[in-house]
Amino acid sequence: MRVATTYAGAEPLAKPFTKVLNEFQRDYPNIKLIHEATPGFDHQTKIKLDALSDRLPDVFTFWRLDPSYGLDQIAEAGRLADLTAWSQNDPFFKGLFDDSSWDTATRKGVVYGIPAQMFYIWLLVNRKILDRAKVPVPTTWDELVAAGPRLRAAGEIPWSINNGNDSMAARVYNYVMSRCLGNERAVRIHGGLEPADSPDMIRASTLVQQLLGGNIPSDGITLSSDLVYAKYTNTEKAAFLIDASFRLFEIDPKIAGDLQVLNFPAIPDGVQHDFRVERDLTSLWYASSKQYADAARRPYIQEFIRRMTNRQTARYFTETAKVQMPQLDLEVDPAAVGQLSVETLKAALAAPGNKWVPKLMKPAQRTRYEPLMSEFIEGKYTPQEYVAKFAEIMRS
Amino acid sequence: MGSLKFRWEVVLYIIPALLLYGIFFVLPFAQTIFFSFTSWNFFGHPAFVGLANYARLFTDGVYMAGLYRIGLWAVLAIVFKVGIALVLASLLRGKLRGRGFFETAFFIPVVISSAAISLLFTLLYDKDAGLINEVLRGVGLGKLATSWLSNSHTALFAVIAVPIWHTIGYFFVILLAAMHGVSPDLYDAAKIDGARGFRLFRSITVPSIMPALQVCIVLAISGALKSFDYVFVMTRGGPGTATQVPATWMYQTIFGSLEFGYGTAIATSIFLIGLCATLATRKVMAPSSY
Repeated sequence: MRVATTYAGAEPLAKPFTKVLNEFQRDYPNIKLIHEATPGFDHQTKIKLDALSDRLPDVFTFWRLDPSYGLDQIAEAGRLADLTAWSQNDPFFKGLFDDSSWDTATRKGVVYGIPAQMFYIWLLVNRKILDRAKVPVPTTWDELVAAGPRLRAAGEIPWSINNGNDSMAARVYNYVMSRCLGNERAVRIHGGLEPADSPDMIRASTLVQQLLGGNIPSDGITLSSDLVYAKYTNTEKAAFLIDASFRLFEIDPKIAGDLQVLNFPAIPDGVQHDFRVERDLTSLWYASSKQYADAARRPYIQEFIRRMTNRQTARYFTETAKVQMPQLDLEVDPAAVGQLSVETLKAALAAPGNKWVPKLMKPAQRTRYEPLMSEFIEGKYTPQEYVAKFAEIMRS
Repeated sequence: MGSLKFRWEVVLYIIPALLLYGIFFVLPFAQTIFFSFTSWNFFGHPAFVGLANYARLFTDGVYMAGLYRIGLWAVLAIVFKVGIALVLASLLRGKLRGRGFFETAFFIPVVISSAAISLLFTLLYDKDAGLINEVLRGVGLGKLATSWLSNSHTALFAVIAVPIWHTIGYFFVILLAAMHGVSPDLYDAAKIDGARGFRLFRSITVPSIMPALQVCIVLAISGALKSFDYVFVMTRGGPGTATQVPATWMYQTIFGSLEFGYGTAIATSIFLIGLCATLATRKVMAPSSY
């Protein structure tokens, strides 16, 4: 049975996953498990190539069914197993995940995935750096914007973020868009379902540039996320940090005490006033339709997925790898996951979730959109120019 | 003296190699050309679109800018890669103490993988901890220190410099071998006529090694056209699209955008441009030209 995941190398889930995998192998010696581990986004390429040659692994993890990841097209081609009947009839799933998770796992009424891992976006500030620069912890949008120039004037770097493809800067962009336009409208605009060239988009883009322009490291546009943590976050050279929960482990525990959770403030005249956090599933378990159709294989595929998604494994993954699992009523040991994880998760679950803004964007649009957004944040375009170019991409 | 006669039995001996060549080159190549005339997202049946993908190349700003970049890359590769290799080979042509050491030293980078070299230079180019900026600051040129790979004005040149440094040794070896094949009598005769130094180099060495030079120039051009690994590892086409070249754009188009048809049209265009450049180089550097 072929199992493909991103749990390779230094990935935090690599060791705990391998342990659970080995337990499955031990319990089912008649099955030979082959783990195909491909790190990061290369896994997307691998799965697409496997799908192209009609040899998808029996079971694999992948991102959501959002169009920008391309898995929806694999589902359209009938290569993903329909898990609807199983997910609805198996008592194992009763009360395990919330409706939002099942909604993400479903496309056009068909359940294709079983929730594997969730994420939320956190915003932190290093109080030590603010104290050094004599800048108060911002609680409003205006204070957050004003903090940037004040930190720069004091010789500090305001934001510890990168600005390439799928970057931390994009997370700030998504927040501003959702706050200004409302999350649903922001998602529709960035999915080409609503015209992009509007005064509201220009205003929201202006606010992004006000917040980040000149306030991120000069090499941020080409730094990978782990280098941002190594160079700026863990060396306490930059004040504000924003990223997804699956990167919390990158923060050096020694500086955790200096960090404070911030709620992303509401933007004056913005549509979204209540506190919201971007959160959703980040990965799900999928199965090959060809392998799942094999009556002899199906029970093992199902049992494997049960092993990977039961509360015991979820707790083990959370406490060992410091990742967030989507199972309801999951009791984890706070000491094992760390105070930052507890606090940021508490903040995330206290609020309704925003969906990822480029959720509905097509892959071809996303390939052009991300470099454009990077260049805009770097200051290459005015907000008007950015929106005009963005609208052109959305029309294509 | 016998004469060469074609014997059909010979074909039997080359069939295995031809089969491999056919399966792993000719067939994929033909498939690439076929798909370049279609619109296909990996699934379902490819839809024939004629020359639409090729027409799109001319309106694709990222692709056209990428063409300019690889043109610049090719020129810089010829000037610096071939040029420096030529000078080094000329310096080491004669009996020089420690020649073996220098030959080895120049060639060592060639055996290291391009991905490893690219990762190494990513660190060297780092704005804060990179050796290049440290040296600049150390010699009082700190104003020149910058984020080499993040600055859109320097990123492309920073990337191009890497394969030039990486493969100079390869061209050096080719040119040195060619120079060793030049008869010393030619130099003796030229010296009798009063030629010295650069005149010897220009009038004897360069014309004598012209076939090898031609090979090096063609390799430099094709290397520039195919460049993928250095860009992919160091910048992935960024900052923005400042270092995006057709090969990396092709990769993103196929595996990111799932536009297999258009991506293969980019691939075919790279092949056609390379073919034209090679033929043009051979024509310009044909013996009657100099």
